[in-house]
Amino acid sequence: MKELGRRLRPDRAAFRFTRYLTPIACAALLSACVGHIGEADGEATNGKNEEALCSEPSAGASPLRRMTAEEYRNTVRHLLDVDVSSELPSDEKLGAFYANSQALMNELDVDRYKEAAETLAKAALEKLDTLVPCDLTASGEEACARQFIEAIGRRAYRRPLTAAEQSAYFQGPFTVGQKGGGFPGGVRLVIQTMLQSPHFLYHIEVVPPGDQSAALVPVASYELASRLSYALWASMPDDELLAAAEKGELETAEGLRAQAERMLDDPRAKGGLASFVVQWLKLEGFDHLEKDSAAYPEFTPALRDAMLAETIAFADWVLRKGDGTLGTLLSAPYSVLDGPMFDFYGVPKPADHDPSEPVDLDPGQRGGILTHASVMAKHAHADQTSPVLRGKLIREALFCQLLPPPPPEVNPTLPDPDPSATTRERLEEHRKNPACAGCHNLIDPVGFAFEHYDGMGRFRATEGDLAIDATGELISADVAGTFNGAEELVTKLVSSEQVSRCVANQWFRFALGRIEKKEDTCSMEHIEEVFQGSGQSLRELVLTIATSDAFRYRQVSQ
Amino acid sequence: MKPNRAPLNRRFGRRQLLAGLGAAAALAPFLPLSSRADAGVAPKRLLVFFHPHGTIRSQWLPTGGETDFELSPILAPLADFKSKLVVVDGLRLYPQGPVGGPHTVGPAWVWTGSRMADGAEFKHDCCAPHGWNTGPSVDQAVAKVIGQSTPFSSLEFGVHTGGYKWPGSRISYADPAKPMDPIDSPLEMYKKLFGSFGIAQEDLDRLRAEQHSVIDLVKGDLTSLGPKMGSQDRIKIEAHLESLRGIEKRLDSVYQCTPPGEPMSVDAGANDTIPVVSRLHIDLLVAAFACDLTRVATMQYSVGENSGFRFTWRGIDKGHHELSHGEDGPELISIYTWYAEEMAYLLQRLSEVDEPGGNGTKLLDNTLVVWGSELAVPQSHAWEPLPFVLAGGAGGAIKTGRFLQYNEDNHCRLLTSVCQAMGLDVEAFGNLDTGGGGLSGLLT
Repeated sequence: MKELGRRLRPDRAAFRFTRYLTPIACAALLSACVGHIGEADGEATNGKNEEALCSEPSAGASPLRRMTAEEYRNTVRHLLDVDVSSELPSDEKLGAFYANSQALMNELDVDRYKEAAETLAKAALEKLDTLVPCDLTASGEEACARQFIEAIGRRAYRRPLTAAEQSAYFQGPFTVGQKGGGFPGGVRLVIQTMLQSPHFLYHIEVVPPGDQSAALVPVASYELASRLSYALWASMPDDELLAAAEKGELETAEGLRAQAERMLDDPRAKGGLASFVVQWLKLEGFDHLEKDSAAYPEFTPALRDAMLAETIAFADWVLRKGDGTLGTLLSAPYSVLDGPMFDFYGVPKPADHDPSEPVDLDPGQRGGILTHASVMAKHAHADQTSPVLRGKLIREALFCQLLPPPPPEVNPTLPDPDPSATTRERLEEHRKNPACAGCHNLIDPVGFAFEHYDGMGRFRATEGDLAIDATGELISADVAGTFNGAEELVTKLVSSEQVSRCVANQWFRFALGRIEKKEDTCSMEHIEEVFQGSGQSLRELVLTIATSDAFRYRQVSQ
Repeated sequence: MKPNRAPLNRRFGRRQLLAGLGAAAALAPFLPLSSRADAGVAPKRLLVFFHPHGTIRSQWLPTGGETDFELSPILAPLADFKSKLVVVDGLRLYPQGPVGGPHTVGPAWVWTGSRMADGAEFKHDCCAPHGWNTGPSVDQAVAKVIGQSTPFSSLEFGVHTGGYKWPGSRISYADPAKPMDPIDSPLEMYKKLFGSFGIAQEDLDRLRAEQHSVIDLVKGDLTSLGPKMGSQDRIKIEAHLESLRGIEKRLDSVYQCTPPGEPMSVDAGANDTIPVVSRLHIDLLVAAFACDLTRVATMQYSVGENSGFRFTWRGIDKGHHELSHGEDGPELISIYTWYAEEMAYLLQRLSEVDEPGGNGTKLLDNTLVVWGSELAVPQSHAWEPLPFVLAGGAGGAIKTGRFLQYNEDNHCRLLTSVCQAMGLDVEAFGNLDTGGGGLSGLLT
């Protein structure tokens, strides 16, 4: 469903560091060049300097978060079986992931929710019989209305409504809506109101009544159900999860894990996984990505959509049907292809092919998610590759390292590119000039590994008539060393403990909707240990995060 | 697509809201004419016009003296309005507090004249984490004072500003950590401004009753939720409540205006239709001023980083950001000149519309347009000298037709002058202000 203006910043990252030169600061201080995501108050969250605290649960502060647009869309689909067709509020982005936890709501946000609620409630009426399975003739309008309010309220608020809340809905929106539009009008206005309530829009976690002095409390059952469903599905709890919450099953790590396992096996997990992968690999806005039509005329919307579908389908298959490991995700010699992708990759389509099953890729060409056309095309320019963008992706998404902008007083200009040189050769200046090399040696050589994938992700043996040199060197990493091509680079990444820790951190941030703080150190250490010890099982990673102290407890801020 | 120059109510082509004309007659005026202090005194309007990436000074700076200056190549498109301009050179941003990525902090620093908050939220650009803004932007500070007289206290127009919020993408801030969001889609803006026209009175009444019942319940939810949250989170609930009250107030307002036709459908996210969107938005903005729907607006082109614009309609394939780290060549000059052309179109439109209320002036005479960027020098991201161009008379508050050269004055003094020109009684603006009041010699 096309929504005018609704897309996530296309190519925002594309030109961020193009030609950024960092003299002075970087040349002298390579280590100062690189910051780390997640260092709170200057302390690393590797846990080396935290000791006996781990005997008690602890968790970093969790600010109140409003749903992201993606969560809203998924939730509305599961609640009402309708699709959003209007503009939703812009999401805030902290680090790699969307989380609306800092910026305050403005009038446009409220207006957009209002518009969306009006349209969605009207659309929901088309399935009134499913929505309100109540015999109006037998029970009468009031009884059916009250039943409806209770049932939908429980799902919309993700907890049972109090008697007072139910009454407010009946006396207010239902009655007013009924006046103008009969029973359906009342139903419509109830839905319209619920979709604008803070109990729907925010991930509500209240300060529990009673003991106000406790600094840390267990997350209440229904709130925990929400945390779990949004972490795993990027959507609302289903009835089974709400029932488990009601019975108190989520209060133990075992009960929580049992639900998490069930939910990982549910098809709705694909939505959660897609959300993580797209944000982690910075693929936002891919559905609106444009390429230079002279350089890449084959980059049509149909091909582009198939590329994104491949990446999501592949990740989903690995996690839920395959061995679920990071190694497989990064290096598998197969993928899940459909439509134009077969031709694009030069892979023959098997007879009676099941589009949800993987097919072998050409081992001489590519393997693993980093060499997907989507990733290569997103991290490139409109008309050529970008080793800088690709190197930056690896540093940020896999090593959790951040790179600085040039200092303001410097005036760097680059010479115009030499058309008879390869992309790699044209970037020589970055590394010949000692003022630039400090930072660019971290980035460019990593990006060169991918030079065999052009700016739209197609495999190329040569760059025009010129031979490609895909050798590079990884520095400032535990698996530092040289490599030739993407496959060798990926082998290093899979064996890196830093990458392992970083991926664990990334998923933590996604699942919790915030960056880890020092109070999360114990949880994080445990999560990293289990991840590494399980052979980097992403499934274990998700389950361990969902049952960690950081997930099950929260700080109560007064 | 070449924008036509037809009169206001036939500007857009396609459908006309014929019913709107009938409904307009049935509506009572929102703004009783007696609220205007004296007959013939027009309200002032403020428009902040933003483009990213500074400019090429050597091609932007006029030559000559204060009143006898020549426009530069980049500003040449504004030749017809030279007598309405004030080109301001020599201002400088003096930052304090956390220094993050230049494109991330530039928009907030320049337009709020305030530092970024201490905090760890934004680490896109390493080494100096920071939070959101600590003060309001100049447009919102003005809107707080004059915005209550109109249905919308302000309007934010966006050309390809993208979908998500981070400080580099926002120039308008109502409060600390409260960015305003530009609307990229002309159709969405049109529906927001004119969507309620053409609806029969009885339907309007029913709709209002419904919306009031919704808002009452939601307000109740928010109010009872507040005490159950921690203090930091309570601020968010409060902000939500405040925004809701703004909507509620507007529910009961009616306004008299002949709405323009609906704008043509265009993909506001595509690159090549950027110039189309720009003109559609400018037309809507002028209509909004003419209908007195607001008196404060921002027109924001792209965001601090501007990786999304490829100026294909100027024959340029490379992205603006990429080019801005190269030499000051003809492509960059062409880009900055395009922004001047859009500004010229805006001034043209404002100069065509008679001031409603009929005191003989034009909209432009009572408007203050402030055109600026988020930094000065594209290659180095330096913040001095910050380029600004003012236009319009602000109802006579500013003497126009001048080229003013300052000597590293704090740019907050310009923001102060802007507030003063709009009738605010202030002597400073923003927590980066170092005193001295407004810019000397700017106001009449």
